[in-house]
Amino acid sequence: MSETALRVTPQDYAPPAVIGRMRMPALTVGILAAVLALALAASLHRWPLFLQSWLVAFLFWLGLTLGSLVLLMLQYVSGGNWGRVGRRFWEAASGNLPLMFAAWLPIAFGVKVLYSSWALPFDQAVAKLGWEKVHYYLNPGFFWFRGVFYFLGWWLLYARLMRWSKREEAGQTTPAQFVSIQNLSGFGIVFYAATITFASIDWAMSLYPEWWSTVWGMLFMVGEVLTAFCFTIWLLVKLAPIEPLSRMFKIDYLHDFGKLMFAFVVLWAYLSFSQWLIIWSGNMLSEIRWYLMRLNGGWQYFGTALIFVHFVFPFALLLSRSLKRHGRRIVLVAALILFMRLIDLFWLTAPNFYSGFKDQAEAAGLKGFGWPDAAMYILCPIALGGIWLFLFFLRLEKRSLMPVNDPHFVEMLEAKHG
Amino acid sequence: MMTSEPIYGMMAEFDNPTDLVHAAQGAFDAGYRKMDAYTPYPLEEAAEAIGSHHNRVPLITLIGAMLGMIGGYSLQYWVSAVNYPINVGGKPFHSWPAFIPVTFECAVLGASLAAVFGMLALNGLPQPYHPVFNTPGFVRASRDHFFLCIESQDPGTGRMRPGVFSRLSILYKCRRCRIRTPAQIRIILLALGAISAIAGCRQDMQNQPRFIPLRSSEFFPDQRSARYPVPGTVPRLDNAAWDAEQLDPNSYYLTGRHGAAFGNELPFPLTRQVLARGQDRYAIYCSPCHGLVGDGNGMIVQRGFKHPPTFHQTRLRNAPVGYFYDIISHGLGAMPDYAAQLHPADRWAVAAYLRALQCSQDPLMCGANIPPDVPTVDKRIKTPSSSYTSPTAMQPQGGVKP
Repeated sequence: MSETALRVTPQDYAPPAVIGRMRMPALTVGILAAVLALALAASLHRWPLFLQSWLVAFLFWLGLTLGSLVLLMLQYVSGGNWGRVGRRFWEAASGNLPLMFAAWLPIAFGVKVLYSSWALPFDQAVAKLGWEKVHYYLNPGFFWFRGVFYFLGWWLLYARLMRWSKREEAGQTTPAQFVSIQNLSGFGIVFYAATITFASIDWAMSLYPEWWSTVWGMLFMVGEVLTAFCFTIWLLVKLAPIEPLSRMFKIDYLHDFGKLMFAFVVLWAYLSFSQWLIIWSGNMLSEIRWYLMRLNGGWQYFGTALIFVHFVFPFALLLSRSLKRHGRRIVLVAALILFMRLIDLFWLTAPNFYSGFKDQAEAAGLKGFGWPDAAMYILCPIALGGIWLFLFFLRLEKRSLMPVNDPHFVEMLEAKHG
Repeated sequence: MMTSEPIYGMMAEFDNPTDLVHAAQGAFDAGYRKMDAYTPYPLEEAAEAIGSHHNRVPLITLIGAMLGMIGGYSLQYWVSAVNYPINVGGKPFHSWPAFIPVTFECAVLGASLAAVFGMLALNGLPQPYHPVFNTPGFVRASRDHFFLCIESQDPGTGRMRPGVFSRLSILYKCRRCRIRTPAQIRIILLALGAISAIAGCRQDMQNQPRFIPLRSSEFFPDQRSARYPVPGTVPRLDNAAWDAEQLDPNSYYLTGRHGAAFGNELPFPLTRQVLARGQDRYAIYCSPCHGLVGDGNGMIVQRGFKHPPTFHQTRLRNAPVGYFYDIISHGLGAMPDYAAQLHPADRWAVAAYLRALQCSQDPLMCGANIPPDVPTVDKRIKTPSSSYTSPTAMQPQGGVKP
């Protein structure tokens, strides 16, 4: 058969040297930003500020990690060449789960500082929230337990997926066994949907425990997958023109990712708008406070920017077919959305800790958002991101870039016919 | 030669898709735009090369979406703020956030309709006549050859030079025997004429000189249109089925039972012809599920249908023949009854063949002599129970002739 004549080995798709060259700059920038952030927090004597900005950084990079994990499972379930292109990227990215667990530890240990609105003794919590059942769910012990449970579940999924992947790479699997990894992935997607709903409530929504939204978990799901799509597009545009990907890369893969990114931009806008529309039309005092906090005191600029830069502008650009097939242009859109993901998480969490910007707030005798705060919110994502990228490149470098033993890999080497 | 007829375009024929894509790419780069490729199967690279993605459908879709948006929003504004204002929770009559979902839906609707009808308007479908079919050998475009046609309407055709088609194997001039649009108009006129002609037709095919079943007739004295069969008419049913219709419905031949218990003998003598008939019917009706050897691995089971039990298990080896007859007659579980497909004699033949199948997988069961020193490979083979009557011992009973 021709398959034996054209046998492709994992060595044919060994990662290019450019991945190794990106590793050390990432680590240097990350450590530098971490040192600066810690020094700034120490000099200001504001450890709560460090935790608050760390939370945004944690949620953003966790989004990329989990978004990659769920895309990894999704492509096993759905198939398609776009998924096989991204598989190794997503395997390497979801391998950062231990790092994300380590990044979660400051939040876990600082729970009484960060979540001071509910992490109280029973009497005070009941007095503050006026509903004792809240305390049964929102208390530090259960918070820690749930956090460990989420990470354990995600790690088990990742470990099973990787065990399969390594066996496949070694050629020890048969196409018939593929269905087992598909079944695992199907379960894993449901497990992810359930856990991220609770995790996003625990880590982000509970900052303001008087308010709730049933679409919150989906907002995080969509945001995380969107983050992973943007990151994948950046990687593809960087790696596709050079060996070994250039040998088999087709511009249609980029087009596919562009379309999916477009879909998730729309989905994000749809869910965000639904949440807001329902609360706006209900106009209940308990619900609108959360939005009023974010639409006053300077936060409205971020909210408006989210509408236009996270949705309207990318939406209009991504309508274009030629843009989605143009590497340098689509990577700019992807970078913009990636940045807006960070802004979105910032806008969802940070206003809970302030009453507005510094000059307005000080006039009212309250704590406001000033330049040191801004610096912390910039430094922390860079610090965690540098370390994240370092470990990501380290892992990406160790394996071939393409799953050549995938039962359908041969199709990717064929010319595109229909 | 009717040289006065205008040329529709130049047609090139290729015997492989790669050459077609290269030629199309070269023609596109040389400035040709009005061209089309004809391939036996969808060839996305050819579509890409002739620039079929550079069309106006996206623009039309965008305009459709805009019109839908404006229309949807205006409708809501007019209804909620102008024509029939209702105070909802103290909100302004012109509450734009509440209008957004419907505006969005209208945009999707407008975009979809514009995309479909814009596509149809631009590609000219449906197109009952096309000049390219005049190309000699064009029928191979549906089989194994690849065609590229550059139309003479292309502004680049004036500069057409053979070099563009450096890789082509055959070059044809494709005559335009009919201009496209008049042909369509003519067909529409023809269709309209045909429709109007229908009104004046005599409906001879509809009103035939024959009787509708069960309708009365003045022709025969008994006023029935249908006649009784002539005495002595032979029915089309074969003898076995005919016999079965004459039998007592509780007979062993029709039930497979003596009283309540299943019998273990054939109601007629076992002959080679009976077994051959059973094998024949089994292969047609039973093997799709039960498999040719009766192990339950038939073809549709391999494609995912429920696995029926194998006949080579102790329970079914010990089952009487009448039991199989009964299940063929009435079905069991997922198995439907085969009463309509197999008349009783055929059912008995299949039941007899089943027994033969079982013997084929377990010779001991049918009393075959295996010397004791022959090692038994399959440990599952056991000596059949003593109560069992092997098919070779089955005695013909009952009174029905085969």
